[in-house]
Amino acid sequence: MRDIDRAQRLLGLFTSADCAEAIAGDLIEERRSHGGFWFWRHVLGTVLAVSRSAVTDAPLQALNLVAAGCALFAIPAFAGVAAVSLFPQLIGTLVSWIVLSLFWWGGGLWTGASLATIAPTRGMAACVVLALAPMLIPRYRVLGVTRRAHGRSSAPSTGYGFGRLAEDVVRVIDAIGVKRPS
Amino acid sequence: MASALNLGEFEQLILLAILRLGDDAYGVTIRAELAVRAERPVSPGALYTALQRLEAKGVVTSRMGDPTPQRGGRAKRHVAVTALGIRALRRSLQAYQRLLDGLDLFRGAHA
Repeated sequence: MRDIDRAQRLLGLFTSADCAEAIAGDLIEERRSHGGFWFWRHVLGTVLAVSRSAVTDAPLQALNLVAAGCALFAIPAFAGVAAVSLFPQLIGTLVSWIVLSLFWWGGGLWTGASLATIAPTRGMAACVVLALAPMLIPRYRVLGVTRRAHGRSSAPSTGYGFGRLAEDVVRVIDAIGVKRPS
Repeated sequence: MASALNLGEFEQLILLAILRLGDDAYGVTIRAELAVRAERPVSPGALYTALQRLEAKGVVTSRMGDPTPQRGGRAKRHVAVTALGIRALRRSLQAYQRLLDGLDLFRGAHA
């Protein structure tokens, strides 16, 4: 499913079919000059603005929407929690699934999927990425990078600041030849 | 005055932008017109909710255009100001005009 279809479906939950089509079209038209991040920011911004005005203009209809929204998220969430309580070994899969679906809904975030996207954040070692790796491997080359001072590497009290981290990230990006880190 | 419909400042700006754009008034062009002429960058969400509100008040009407490939095959939603909208706008702007009469605001007399 393309970004515009996804955006239109999302907007269609909160406004009329015609409005959703026109808004999705407007946003895709402007996406060419503003980029994918801008597009999704304003799809979500418009959904929020429309739902906020729905609350003030038609409180009853808004309540219905809230109920529908809760059901939409509650059903898979309950199913996931139930599955994990029965089979604790599924926790990694559940977490990977949640993170992956967030990435997936990010749509444009996938473009240029690269080391910078999946580099472990502060406090995380590369092994955490391994939980996601099996699902990413079919489409992407997955590299796990552990920051200095993590794992078994030395951890001096000075010299490993954010400047050094930035430098390391740039070096790794250069080394693997990523053109457009997202 | 027949109409007692009050328009907010943002609504007046949108109506003026629609009038200026004529047949080419839709989401993208209205936002561009407001950014250039009114020096007011407006988020898409703010514009669409305001347009919905204006349509509910009967101040603007909309019609769907033809789908275009540049827009992923989606149609534009063209908007136009209704006669009621024109009357309400005229009334709001006349109020400004009457209040401005006798003031020297634009030459800095009240700075």
